[in-house]
Amino acid sequence: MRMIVAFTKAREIRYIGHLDLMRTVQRALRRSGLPLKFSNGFNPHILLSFAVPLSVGVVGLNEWMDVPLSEAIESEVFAEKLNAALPRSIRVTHCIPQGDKLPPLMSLVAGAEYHIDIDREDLPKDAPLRYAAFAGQDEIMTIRKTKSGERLTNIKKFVLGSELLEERDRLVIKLSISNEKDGMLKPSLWFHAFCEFLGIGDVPFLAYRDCILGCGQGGKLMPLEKTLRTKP
Amino acid sequence: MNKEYEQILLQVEKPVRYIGGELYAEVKPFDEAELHFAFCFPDIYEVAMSYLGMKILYGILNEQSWAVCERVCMPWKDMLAKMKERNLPLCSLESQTPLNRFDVIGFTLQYEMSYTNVLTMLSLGGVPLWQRDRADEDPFVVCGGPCAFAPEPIADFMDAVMIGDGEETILQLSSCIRSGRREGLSRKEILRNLAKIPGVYIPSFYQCTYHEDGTLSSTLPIEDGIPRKVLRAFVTDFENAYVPIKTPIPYMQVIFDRITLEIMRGCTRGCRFCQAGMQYRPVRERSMEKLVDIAKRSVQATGYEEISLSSLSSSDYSCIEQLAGRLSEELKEDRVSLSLPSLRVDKFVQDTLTHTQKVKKSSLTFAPEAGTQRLRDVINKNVTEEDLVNTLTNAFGNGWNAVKLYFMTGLPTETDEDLAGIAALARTAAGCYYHIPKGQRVKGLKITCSASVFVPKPFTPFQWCAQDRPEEVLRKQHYVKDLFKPLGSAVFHYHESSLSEIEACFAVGDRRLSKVLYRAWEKGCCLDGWTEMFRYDLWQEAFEECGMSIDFYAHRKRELNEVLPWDHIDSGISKEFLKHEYEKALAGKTTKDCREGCNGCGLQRLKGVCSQCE
Repeated sequence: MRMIVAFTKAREIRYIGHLDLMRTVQRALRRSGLPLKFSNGFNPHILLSFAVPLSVGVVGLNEWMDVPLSEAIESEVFAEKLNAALPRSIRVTHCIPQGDKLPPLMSLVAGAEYHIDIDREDLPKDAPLRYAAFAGQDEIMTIRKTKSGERLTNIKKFVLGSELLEERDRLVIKLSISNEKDGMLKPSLWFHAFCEFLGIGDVPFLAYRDCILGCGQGGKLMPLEKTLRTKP
Repeated sequence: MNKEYEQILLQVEKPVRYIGGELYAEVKPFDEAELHFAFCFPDIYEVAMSYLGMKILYGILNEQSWAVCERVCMPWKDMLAKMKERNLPLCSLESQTPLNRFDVIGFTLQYEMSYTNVLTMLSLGGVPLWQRDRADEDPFVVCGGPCAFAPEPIADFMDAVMIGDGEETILQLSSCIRSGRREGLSRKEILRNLAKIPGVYIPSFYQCTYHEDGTLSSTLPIEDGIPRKVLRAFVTDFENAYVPIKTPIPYMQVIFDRITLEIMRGCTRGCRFCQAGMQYRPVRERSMEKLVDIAKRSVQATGYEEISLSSLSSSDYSCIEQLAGRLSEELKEDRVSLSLPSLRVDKFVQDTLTHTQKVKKSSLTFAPEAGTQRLRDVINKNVTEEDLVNTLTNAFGNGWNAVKLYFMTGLPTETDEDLAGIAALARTAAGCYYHIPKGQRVKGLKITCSASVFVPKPFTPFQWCAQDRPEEVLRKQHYVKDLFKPLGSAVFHYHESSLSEIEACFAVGDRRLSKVLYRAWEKGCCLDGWTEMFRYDLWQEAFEECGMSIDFYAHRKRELNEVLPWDHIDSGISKEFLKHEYEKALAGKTTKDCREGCNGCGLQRLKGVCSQCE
């Protein structure tokens, strides 16, 4: 069976990259005593995959990973054992047992929702007013770094929707981003483009990934969880 | 953590180096402890977290209810720049407490070229650098580790030096400072109390005088009741000494991402160039049962995939084959692999290595150190060509196809013939491979020979030797390199010698070098051990501006009757023994492993320290 696991990555470890996160989880899995599956070959490693990597600097509120198991085990027991072994900065919130026939988690990801917190005092007073103009452009050109190199890209086309909310002492930019062949747009790049638009240098911000999206019936985007069958 | 700092973290390379928060990091309430100890490793996080000594001492201190020990590492150059720019203090990993709020700041001196990092860390931590400038309320700056046996070049910056095994000393030192502070004693009064602890040396209680020719005349106590010689500390009950099991596990990849199991401390081989072998005598082993138990508990506690057996010469552990076998069996279920570094050419046992075969074969490393038997006898590295041939034939016949051979150039009595021997050994090694039938051997032979520059080290028989001058080093390196040209499958590596030259100055230097160290630091030298950061030109300037000579320290042969800057430290090994060994070296005579019979190195004077000489 495969246990599809929802977990959070806390603010204090947002500096840890994806590979380091994976190794941390692998060690925790070893400590947990759970019935894991290993790869074959000379140097066996624990079978573990993630829905989509979380960039350095982003807090993960609803991340997903896939842990193949050699024996069936109840969700609550799995969560309890893994949480007991994990460092406190990573918490399993719940998990959904699935059958081995489930396609790789990575292939089910259609996009993600983020929000970015900025202190009001760090942005010019007219920033909220100008956001609609920024986001409303047909094209937003900026340099984007991908595996294939750095290229001037129109990042607007990756953004499914966005809005800026005003709270007392902070501004919150909400973003829905689509999953592309060469990865998902980093929310930091969107914010960087906004700062460029405002004519200011980079400003402190805190990005959160609220939810990973999958494709539901009729191609509608919805939380990944909802697209999984609850019965394995 | 404030907003500004969080932003900086996202602008530097590998911010994980600076955040702490690891599993098993001990975050004890800072203000509830009576004694606050900052364990400072003078290099970056990845190096610090691979050092077993920090894990041991961190664990021992944090076990005490009255103490809190936190880790501090050297920031990398990008973080250093940001810290200087924004005036950010150097803080501990656990609670982000600035260095100068600790009662004791302890540095481990692993490598002479980390000394500028010591000054950098103190400066960034807001601690007065020179010992003489510290007021009663300032932290105590102490040090330990291998270089602490001959600490004179850095002594002017140290309140106290812990020499030898640190497990007991660190507790006694911390406890003494805790009481002293509680009683409101002055710095000097506390230092006087520290001087009574075995293994603790207080540099400010000694004065150095020099002859006209610049050589040391004496290092003598200037306070009453202070010993003329400080004897190092020994941990005799090694079996029951503290073993770290739940130790902070880095989130990021560090140099050693594995469990390190110390199976033995000390070495009986007596290689004459080896500082560690001489300084960590006597040899003490842990029992197999204990090791197996620790290994199992460590695997359960950490989840690491690899466990490495650590000692100076693991093949000399009395039942290494059984140990490797037992561990292999016990760890099989957990799919944990066994790593066995520090194996000797002459005691390479096939069986031992089959246990590490579970992992994909990486290369095997051996250290013949010298190219000819004559020179190997001089340095007392008792490894014959026959041993090498047998070992390599064994290895190549069992699936290994890559071998690394380590050598040194500049060893005493070395001739060009010895250098040519390096290439000859490489050729012999290749020969062993080609003797294995084609079907049995693995394709793609790779022989890597590398030669480092000999650095004379204190408390070894070669402590009187001069290091080759840079021109000579270069000539020798090119000479060997040319001899490798016709050898297809073997390569020869060497490094620029300037770093080793400064290392030599500080390894066998005296107290006057503190001026040079300070000046080099002022000029911006730091992270010297990293090739991209080392500035030989600035070091040369520092020496010149202080009116000191690199040649005097690195390239001058000492007279046998010269007073050495570490003569006031007793490493347990007598100077007579070292002299005798040096003379034997010059005559090309070897000395047996002391397990085969006591050689009278000096430990026999100390009751109950060495079990071999009873």
